[in-house]
Amino acid sequence: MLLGVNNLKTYFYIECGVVKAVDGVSFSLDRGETLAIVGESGSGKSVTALSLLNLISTPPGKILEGEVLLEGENILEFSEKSLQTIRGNKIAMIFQDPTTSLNPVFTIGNQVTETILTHQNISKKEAREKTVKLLKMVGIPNARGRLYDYPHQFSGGMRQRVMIAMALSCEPDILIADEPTTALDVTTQAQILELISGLQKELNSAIILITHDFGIVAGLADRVLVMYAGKAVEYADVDAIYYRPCHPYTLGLMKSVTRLDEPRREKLQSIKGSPPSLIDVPPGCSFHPRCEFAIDVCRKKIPKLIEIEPGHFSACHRVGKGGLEVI
Amino acid sequence: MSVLLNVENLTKYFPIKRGVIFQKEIGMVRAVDGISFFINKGESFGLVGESGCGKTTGARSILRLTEPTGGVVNFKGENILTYDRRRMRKLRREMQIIFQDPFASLNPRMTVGNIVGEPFLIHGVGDDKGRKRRVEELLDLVGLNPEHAKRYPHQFSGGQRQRIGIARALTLNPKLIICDEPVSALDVSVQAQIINLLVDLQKEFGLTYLFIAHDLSVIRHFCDRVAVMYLGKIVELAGNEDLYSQPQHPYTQSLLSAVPLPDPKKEKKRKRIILKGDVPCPINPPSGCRFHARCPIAQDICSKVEPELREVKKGQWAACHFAKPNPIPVG
Amino acid sequence: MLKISKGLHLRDMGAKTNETSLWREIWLSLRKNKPALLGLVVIIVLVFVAIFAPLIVPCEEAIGFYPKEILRPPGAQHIMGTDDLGRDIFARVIWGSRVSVEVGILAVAFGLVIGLFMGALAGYKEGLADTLIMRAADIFFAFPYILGAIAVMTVLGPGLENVIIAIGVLEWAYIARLFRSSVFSVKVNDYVEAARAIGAGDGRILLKHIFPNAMAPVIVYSAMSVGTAIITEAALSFLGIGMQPPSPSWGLMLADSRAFMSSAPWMMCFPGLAILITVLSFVLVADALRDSLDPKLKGAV
Repeated sequence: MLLGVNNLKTYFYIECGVVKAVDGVSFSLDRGETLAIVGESGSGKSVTALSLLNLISTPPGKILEGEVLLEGENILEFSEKSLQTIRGNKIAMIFQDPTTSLNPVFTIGNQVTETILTHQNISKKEAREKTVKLLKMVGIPNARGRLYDYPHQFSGGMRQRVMIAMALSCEPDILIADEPTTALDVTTQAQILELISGLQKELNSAIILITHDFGIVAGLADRVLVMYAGKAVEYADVDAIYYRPCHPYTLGLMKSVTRLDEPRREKLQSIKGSPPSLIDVPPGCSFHPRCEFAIDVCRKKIPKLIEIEPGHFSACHRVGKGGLEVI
Repeated sequence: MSVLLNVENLTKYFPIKRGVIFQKEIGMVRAVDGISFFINKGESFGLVGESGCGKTTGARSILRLTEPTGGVVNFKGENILTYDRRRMRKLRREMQIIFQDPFASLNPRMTVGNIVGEPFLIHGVGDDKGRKRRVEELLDLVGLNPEHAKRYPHQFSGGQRQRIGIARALTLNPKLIICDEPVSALDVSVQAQIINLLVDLQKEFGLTYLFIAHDLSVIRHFCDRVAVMYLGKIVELAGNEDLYSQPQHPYTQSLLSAVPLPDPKKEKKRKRIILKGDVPCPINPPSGCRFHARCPIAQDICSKVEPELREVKKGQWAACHFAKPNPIPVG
Repeated sequence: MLKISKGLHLRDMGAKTNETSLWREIWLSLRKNKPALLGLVVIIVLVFVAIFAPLIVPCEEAIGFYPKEILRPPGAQHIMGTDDLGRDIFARVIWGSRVSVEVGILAVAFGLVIGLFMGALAGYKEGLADTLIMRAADIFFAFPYILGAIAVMTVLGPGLENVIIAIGVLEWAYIARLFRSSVFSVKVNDYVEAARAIGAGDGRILLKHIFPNAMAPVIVYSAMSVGTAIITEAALSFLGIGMQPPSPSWGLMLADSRAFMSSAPWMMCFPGLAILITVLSFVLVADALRDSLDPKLKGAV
């Protein structure tokens, strides 16, 4: 096991209350594997990713409990200095918005070289050569010539490629991609997704993919963690999630997306209501006000994540050994 | 079926200017470069394309929220581009718009009741009491609690705010509603609610929609006919079935192929068409066919002669020299 | 690549920002800020003192000539002492507040009227109007503030009205520039477009949709400017081109006290303190307003 996360809790203490952004999330990841964390806005998926690298600004945030085991060592206990060697070297991150993740006043070459130099003990010239190699690898045409260009001279897709090049510069074991294509167009998204999966095969790295798009998950992920209001509600292999969803929320999401591969439907099935505010999460199962299967116990008791078949976990009172009772 | 809106050769160019007092034009952004289409009464017409293709500018030009550079917009048989300010303001009762971002489209300093009721005030409809009752009816219609009329927009979630925007658009019983990416800023679980609401409203009031989106699957669910835009031009226009089952333009085909399917088995087997490069800059669009630099089946002629939008099959139009069903060979 | 709270907004977490009516929002934020509340109390007291000055001390004590009472130190009879003409300093400070309050509020109001109009015109219409107005404003920025005020006063001559005009004439350019940029950023919002789409005219769009959302920085600036205007009046009077003797102005009192700095320091202390406290109060209030109204600080963790 490359990465193990146990019972991670990250809360934010703000004026109007406590935001339980991540509330007891656990998962594990192996080399070469892709884990997708799926959820809507406010589900805590991005905070989970930031917590892995201990990148939560304190205050107002705080990692309350839990452990993040990287090759058996709990990196949450590391000092800031040793964490810095892990960030970028062992775990690297790509953000959603490539327009704000690059510094507009430095050239592309400068920024990538700088990243390499902070993590590796090589000469400036070698770093520059490596930059060219990386930019070529992520498919930037005329890489050497574009070293001296500024971020605004790159398109959104090209900037995201640069971000990927920077993230891969130290050949990290784990790549965290937080909505890497949300800001991009479909055709560019297809390019970037192909690039990511191609590089994964080449480098055998593990990927944590954070997204709200079930289409992207289907193509890239091996395992899926579905989050709702800061908690994991379902955790299973990608096939199990798509063909045998065992949580009403996952099921509802699957049914409510418009899709190209099935006949047009008269009406979409939808989940009523909207995702809750993390400041006042409903008592009991946080999904119960929106759930069509909710019964009394759902309003009172928080459901535990239980294993309903090997490797398939679901947090729902109405789920039994054979899957969702009601279906 | 009668035509409600007919757009002919609509163009919108944005001049690029330099200079402090004496401004000099140094170029043109051809955001919309001669698009033509019509929408029948009661129909949903989709305009789909990637960012920067001109779909939003096109829609706003039709409403004259930005003044188009040229072309004709016939609404109920009259060219509204010739209307003066006063007539245009009157006409606005009949054409409405729903915006993408539910957080930016509602004035944060007005109550929901005032937002929804503002069109009545502007057009002097009804008295205070009648307006209040009507606002409550509208809120109820879009699935909100009428008692919430006194609240401010920030007290609502994204989906609820979008419902408020829809209620505002419905206030004056418009004939045509332009939906500018109405669900793309919303959470997945909320998108379906809003789409269903729009469909229900269409049935109830016989509305005509011009639906703008970048998401091909939403358009497929929603629209009767679809136009695909690329760099300010329509490259393909067809009925829903035809466009999605047998796209005639290579760009349409690659767009469809790029959409990920929420099905792991299909997705892993699938051969995807990956386009080279990025959408070119609309200041200096490529010569000939604008898609030729990225097109996998481009020939010499494509960089020289601009293809006309021609009827390839009954009701299916494509602007490609080599238009045929699924033109790019896959596999 | 390491940005810590990037993209983490309270809005995403479901927290709610406080956008309601502008005035309600201002009150809510002031209530929580103790120093600002203190400043507000001082300002209210000051305004009351200015209005009811005749009920507190008779005017004669502030402007007469009392040869028997010259340069008395603070004591039971004159709690702030008397000046070189035997006038009661307390009475003059009280009556001086009238001048300060009047100048502060009216000069800024004058600047606001012109500045908001010009700023709205420039920001909303853009094009030629924008170019002309902003270049005109640039001319005002070219002079140092106090120098500009002196120049205008030299042309207009001394007196209360002229002080107000001089300061207002300088203020408009600052307010116009600030409001213009604020209008610029507000008018691109979809709700402005939505208002146009439902047939609203320019007047309605400006008054109902743009003004309430673009006013915040101008309100902050105005609160600050009242303090600046009071100082400017004091400075002009000190230089002898603002208020003229014997009218009780804090600046004039300071000017009179120069000759007696060592023999009668109270002549300088009390008007100086009055200016300090007044200006400080406005700054405190303005600061609190900025904290609550600045959209950049709002909503982010």
